[in-house]
Parts: sequence; structure tokens; C-alpha cells
Amino acid sequence: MQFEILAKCKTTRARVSRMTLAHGPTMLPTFMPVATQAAIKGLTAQQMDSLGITLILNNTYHLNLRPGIKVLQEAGGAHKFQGWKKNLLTDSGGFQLVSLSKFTKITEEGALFASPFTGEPTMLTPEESISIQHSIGADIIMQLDDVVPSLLTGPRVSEAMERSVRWLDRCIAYHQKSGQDKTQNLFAIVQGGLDLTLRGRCLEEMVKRKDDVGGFAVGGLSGGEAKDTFWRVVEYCAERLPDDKPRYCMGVGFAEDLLVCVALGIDMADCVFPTRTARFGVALTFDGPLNIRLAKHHKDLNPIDPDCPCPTCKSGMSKALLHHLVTEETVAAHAVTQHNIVFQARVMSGARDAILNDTFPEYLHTFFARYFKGAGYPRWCVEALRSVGVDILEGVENPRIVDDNGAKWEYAEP
Amino acid sequence: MVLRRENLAAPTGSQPITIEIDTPAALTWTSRGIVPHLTRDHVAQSTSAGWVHVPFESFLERTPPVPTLQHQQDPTDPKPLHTFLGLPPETHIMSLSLRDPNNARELPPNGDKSISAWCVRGVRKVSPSSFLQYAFACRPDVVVAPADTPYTAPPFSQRRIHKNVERSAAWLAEVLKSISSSKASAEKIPILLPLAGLTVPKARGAFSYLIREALTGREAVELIPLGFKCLDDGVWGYLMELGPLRPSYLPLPIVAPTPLADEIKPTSYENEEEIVSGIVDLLQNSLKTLPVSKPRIAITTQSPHEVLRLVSEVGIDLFDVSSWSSDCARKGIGFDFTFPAPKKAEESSSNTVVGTPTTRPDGKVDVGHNFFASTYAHDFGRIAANFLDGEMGKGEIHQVCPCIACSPKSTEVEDASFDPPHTRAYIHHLLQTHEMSAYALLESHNAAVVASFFAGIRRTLSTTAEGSSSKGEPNIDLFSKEVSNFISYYALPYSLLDEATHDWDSVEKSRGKGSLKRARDADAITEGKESDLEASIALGGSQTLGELVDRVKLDAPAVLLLDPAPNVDVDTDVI
Repeated sequence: MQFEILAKCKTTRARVSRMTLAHGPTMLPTFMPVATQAAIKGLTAQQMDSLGITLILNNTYHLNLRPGIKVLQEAGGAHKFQGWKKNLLTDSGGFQLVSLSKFTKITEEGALFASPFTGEPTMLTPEESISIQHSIGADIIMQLDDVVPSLLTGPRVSEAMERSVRWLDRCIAYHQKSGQDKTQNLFAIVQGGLDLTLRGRCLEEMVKRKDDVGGFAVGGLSGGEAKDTFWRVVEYCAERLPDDKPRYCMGVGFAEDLLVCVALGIDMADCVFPTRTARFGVALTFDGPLNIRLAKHHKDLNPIDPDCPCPTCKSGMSKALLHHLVTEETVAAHAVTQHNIVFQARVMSGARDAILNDTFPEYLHTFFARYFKGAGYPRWCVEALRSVGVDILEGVENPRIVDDNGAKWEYAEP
Repeated sequence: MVLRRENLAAPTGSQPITIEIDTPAALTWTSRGIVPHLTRDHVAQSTSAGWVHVPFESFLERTPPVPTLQHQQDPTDPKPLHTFLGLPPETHIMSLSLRDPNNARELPPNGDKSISAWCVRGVRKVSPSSFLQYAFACRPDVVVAPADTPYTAPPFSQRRIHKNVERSAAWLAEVLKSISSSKASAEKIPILLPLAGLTVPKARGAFSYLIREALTGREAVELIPLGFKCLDDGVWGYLMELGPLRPSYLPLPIVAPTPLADEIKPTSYENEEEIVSGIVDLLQNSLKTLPVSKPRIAITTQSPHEVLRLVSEVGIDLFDVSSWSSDCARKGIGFDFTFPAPKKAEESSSNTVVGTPTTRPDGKVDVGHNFFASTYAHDFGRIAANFLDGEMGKGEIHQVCPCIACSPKSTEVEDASFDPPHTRAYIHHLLQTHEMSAYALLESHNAAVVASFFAGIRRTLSTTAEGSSSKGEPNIDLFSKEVSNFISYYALPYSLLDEATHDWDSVEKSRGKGSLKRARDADAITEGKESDLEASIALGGSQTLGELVDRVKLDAPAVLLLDPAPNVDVDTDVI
């Protein structure tokens, strides 16, 4: 893996870099769309490529279930299986063991769960997780970590953090012994819950291993914690992670969250939000999300965003037609999915261009003013960006600030 | 045969548009105005014939119907419906009908002045004249005259058939009057006439006679000055709805029940040949007195076998095959058949890596593959053995399938080379995991195979005895020979469709709409046992884990469902 920083923002901690993996270069910061079961829902690999996407995510837990490792090995890896020629990242499967199975027990050896194939108690060890990810063949693979709910407090959090460090060592050892470390890059996952002391101890240990990993992820967030806590943890971690490795914040997908994370020094993020919300008829725009299902869009013959280069908007597909199709025809889901993926890419490429041109603070200023127009600036965004030297309220007369934790949403008019 | 449409309904002064469609051919059916599962970038890549049919009834949900607003917004747009639906008028002929005969469900009876149409908000009564007003605002290239087709199960009473003939003729007169007396040339839209008479040969013949008969009475007073001697003078082509002609025709109840496996009965096709013979007879009765020069369109054909008989025995030019092609795609079937059917010699020389479809006990071969079947889980071949993929390029015997699955190509780089084809194993995986990408791949593939099937029909018809292609008389002898070859080589699609429907249904139940609720209900039942299960895992195994397996297979309830589940099956992923 080659990681080359091309520009750094002079105000914030944002940077533009080029990460070159076995399947080509990816410009960072970037948002990674999620193809849980080896397909971005409703789209083909060629459509994703046509949208200009160079890095997507598959879920190890799901691929291990279906089609199964044997099929992936026969196919020659997940890239060939799904016809994807660009870069791919897989998670460790640990998160789904916790989120999807009530029966998982964590032991020092690994995660014990009931095999969905046979019902037999099965152990997912760090070595096993890496081995599965080797078969899948993604360009970036994640360590198995001990995941606890974000809101959990108490001794279990520190235990999980410490175990994640020990499991990282086992992942590194297995990965290096296998020889796969030439083509696949192992990322460490910083844990420690919402407790900055625990995060600090985790960072200290993991950064010591920086020569053995391709990059670092910030895990254990986006689990319902207050946004004010979220950004402080990201800020704390990003500041302490080494400059010369990519930093990946897991489970982040709202545009405002992405830009705050970029300003705090994050390079990569993933979330099912843009693609899932598309299937429910919500189109993302620089003026905030549009809920196409609302009756107010039923006779709007304009595209979602006339300036958008996505195939949906470029073809002139109107909000009225999308409203007519949404929840009735899968095409509406596909069309809005294409749009939302391009929207995420535009938010991030806009950030990259701004950092390269040294106008990132202005970009933030413009983005937030437009996106939250009428809804008010979220306080946590204002404070997070102030912590890295950008005041998005500067020059705004009587700014409205809201203490909301949630994302901006479009509701029916009363 | 070449069907030429020159500047139909184009405003004066605009560039003439000529779209040639070689017939026999398949038209593209739309559902709610779009090709099912295919986004606009995929539709643009499609090589199928440029005739698109749009049933209007789904737009009746709003008043005024939304497509009519396109014309209001820009009255200078000569093709507002093309614009609304994103199909270029230069490449697509668009026909418009009020009802969607492929969406047959039981409806309240039509009146003398109104037709019952269906949209998701319920039944709408539409008069022929108001439908025509919608058509004027949409400006399709061809409009289907409203027909008094009953959406109830046959047999139809004599009285009903009489009404069907009378009303259809009266409504045609009304439509002719409005279109011909219209001042705007853009409103002079060619008319496709659904041939009435239902299942009674005599009634069908009588309807055709009625429209060829010299006008009398009030109609004569109104229509003769507009240049008509008979009603048929104003008719551009004929439409034949085959659904109501089948004895098995049973419209769905207005609210369709959720399909469940135990409700799916195997389709009876024992006497399919007789049924098609009956349909052929009915259509021949309609057409024998009508001019051969006008285009003939058949709606709701159910197999390639039926298409071949309708081409050779009825002379149908354009076919709607969506009721089997799209339905098959939705049920996980990828087509793998050609016309002419493969010869024995070709079979042995064909690529042995890619398996051919199942051979039935009677020795006939399926027209496609049921990719739900577990035999495809490890099959890394392209979809169809009878076609090559884009990456392989041209072959001597087999043609390349140009669909998005067999000839995938990114549009990011211009003139990009083809990617390897999507494999059977991948499609099997997508179907098993309820991923919608499978439907897009199969919809595109099936349409491409159908297009190639029709190209084969045209090639055979234009092949002279010496084997060279000619523009002369169709080669009926060769064609008839190939039709009987095809019919004895390929099995009817019904067994395949039944099997696929069964597999589709089980995946639908475990991962489709409502699956999360079913999983929760199952949870509630096993709630009491869960603590035991947990304990047994901690202890390292027990026999009760079998129940746990079932539960896990059902997919655990998703977290973070931001919205209530919509009607499309898009609500079942988990993070």
C-alpha cells in the first residue's frame, strides 16, 4: 500500500491523500458505499464503476454466511465474484456477531456463537477472522475487535479495549505469517468506548504497532451516543493517530458528520445510510435531504438536483416521476441510490478540492449555511469545527443554533 | 416485414422522425411508466426494439394525472410523455393505453360511458373522452382506443359479449371523432384498435364486420365529412388482448393476497396446444375480413411457443412478451433459448464449460435456468450456454448476448472493454440473499434473449431456399420447419416457472416483505426457550440449537429502521 499526503489544510486537520492499493488508487478523504452481500443494493458493479467509485465495503459476516468462503475461493475472491475491479474493504465480522446475534459470548480465545449453518457452537478467533478475510481477498481488512455497545460503561469497556489490543497482536501475527500482507492491508481498530482515558490507553498501545498495520480505524462510535461526545472522541483519536497512515471512522455517513470528521483529520468513512435511505425514497442534496415520498413532491417536474452529474439527475428524471415510483417500483430505489452515492462522493470531492485549493474553511462555511438553511446549525458541528479553528457562524447574522442530535430531515408540511 | 413510422403525430415544421422496426418483434412493456428493475442508464444500453408501451392507469392516482403536467409546463415540447419518462423520441415509439391488461384484477363492470381502471388508490371510472384528453396532453405516437374488456372470469354471457362489441365500436367512433376533428396536428394520433368479441368466434367476426361496414345514422353524419367511409378507415393497427381468451383467465381480486407457497398451484399446461389453437382460431375470425396491411399487435403472450404459432398462423407483427419474460426474471429464471433451435451438431460443438438448461423427462429442453436452484451455487459460467459473452467476442455458431449481465461494461471510460460476464453463481447468490441486483441482471438478459429470438424469426423468414438473405417473399416452408423443430426441442416454460416460483416464494418468505415481522413472531413463540438456548451455548452445544438455526436463517430483526417498510422489497437488510 502506498499512502501519500498531497495537501494539508492550513486551518483544520484535514488532509488530501492518495492511497494506492492492489486495485488502484483511491483519493482520500472518501466515503465508502456499503455492498453488504456483495452488491450495492439494486446496482451492478459496472454502475458503481461508472459513478466513479473506487472503494466499496463488503461485510465479512454476511459473505461468510452466503455465498460462503468455499464459493468465494472458487470464484477467485470477492472482487471476481461480484465483478468489482476497484478497491474493496471488509470488516472483521465482529460487529455483526454482536448486533445480529444475541447468543454471542466473548472469550479470550474469540467470539463464540451458534453457527447459522449447523447450529454448532462456533468460535470466531482473530486468526479465523483474518483467514476468512484472506479468502475474500479485500484490499483492506479489519482486525477482529471486541465490540461493546457504544453507550455501555463500566469495567466491560476497558476489558474490551484491552482485549482488542491483544487480538490486534494475534491478527498481525497471523496476517504476516500468511504472507498476505503484501497485497492485503490490515487496519487496527481503536476502541475504548466514550471514555477518553481508555481511548488514550488504546491509542498508545496501537500506535506502537503502526509499522505492522496499514491504517487505523476509530471504532465503537455511531451507536447512539450524543453527537457532542462523538466528535470529542473522534477529535481525540484523530489527533493522536500517526500522520502517515490513513484514518477510518467507522459507521459515519451523514454529510455534516463526514465533513466534521474530515476537518478533524479523518480520511475514510462508511455507512449504509445513503443507500438505505434511498430505498425509502430520501434523496440527499446540498439543501438537505428530500423525502420524495411526501405529497409535496408529486408534481415537481424538476430533477432532484439539476447540477448533479448522477445518471438519475442527468437524465432529467423528475421528482414527480420518482414520487410516482417510490415504494412501488424497485427502479425508484435504484435511481435514488445512484443519486445518493454520487451526492456523498460530491461532498467528499468538494472537500478534497477545497483542501487542495486551501479553501476548506470556506467550503465548510458554504456547505453548512446551505445544508442547514432554515433548520439551524447543529451546536455540536459549530463546536467541533471551532476546535479546529473554523467558525461556521462567522459573518452569519443572528445564526439559529439547535441542540439536535439527529440529522436534518424533511417532514410533511403541517 | 418492416414497420415504418414517419413523423407520427409530430408538429408541423419539426424534423421528421423515422423509426424503423423490423417485425415480427417484441415491444417493451412498462410498469408505472418504467421498464421493471432497469434504471435509465440500463435502458439506454438496451438493444431491444424501440417500441415502448405505457399503460396509463397507474397515473390516475392523482388528478390531474402527473404526466399531463409535463405538457402544461412546456406546451412546446412535442413529446411530453417521452420527456417525462426519459425516453428519446428519436429512438422510441411510444404507445399509450388506458388499462394494463397484464395487471388483470377483478374490477367493477364498465358502463356505457365509462371504463373501470385500477390504480393503487382504488378503482377509477374514466370516460373514453377524458382518456383521450389525457392522451392529447401526453402525445404518444400511438394511442390504444378504449376497449370494453371485462375483468371477470370467463365464460362471458351472450349479453356481455354483445355489449363488448357494441361499446367498443361506439367508443371507437367517439375517439375517431375527437381525434379527427382536432385542430392541433399533434393531436392527430394514430389509433390502435383492440379487437372485440371476446371468446366467441362469431362475435369477433361480427365486430370486424361492424367496423368495415359503411357508416350509417348519426355516426355517418358526423364521420363522413371527416373523411371516413367506415370506422376502420380511422384505425392504424389492431391490438389483440390474449389474456381474456384463455380458459384459465382469472383476474386477481382487487386486493391481491400475499403469495404463499401453499397457495401456489402448479400451472396446468396439459392442453396448452389446444388452448393456443383456440386463440389462433379466435384471432383468425377477427382478422379474416380486415386489411392485411395494418400492423397487428398481441398482448400477454405466455411462451415463445405461442409467439411462433401466432407469427405463422395469425401474422402478428408485434408482441408483448413481458408477462413471461419479466415474470421469469422476477422469479430468478435466466433465458437460454434460440430460434432456430440448436441442431444436434451445434450442441456438441458448443462450449462444454457452460451447462445447458435442464432436459425434461419427455426429452424437451427448458427455455432457461432457474437460478434459485442450488446446482448453480458453484457454477461460474455465464447465464446462457446458447450465447457468448461480450468479453469472448463474436463466435461462429453462437451470438453474443448484449445484456448488462453477459456483456457488462462501465460507462466511466469511453470505449471501455467488456468486463467478464456476471456468473450463475453470483446471480444464485443475489437471489438467495434477496438482492435486487439479480432482477436487473435477469430482466436485461431475458429481454436480450427475446430480442435475439425475434431476430432469428425474421432471419428465417427472409432466408431463401439457397440460404442467402433476401427482401422478397417470406420463406414460409423453412420457417414452418423451424417452428416445429423449436416446439419439439423446447419444453413449455410452465414447469420451469412453477419450480422457480416455489423457490422464489421460500426466499421471499424468509427475507422479503414481512419477513422481519414473521421473524419477530417466531421470536415471541420461542421466547421462553431462549434462556435455555443461551445456557446450552455457554455449555458448548445441545440438540435444541436446531431451532436457533431456523431463527438465524430468518435474519434477525434489523436495527435502525428509520422508516416504516415500503411496499417494494427493499426493507430487509441488516447491519
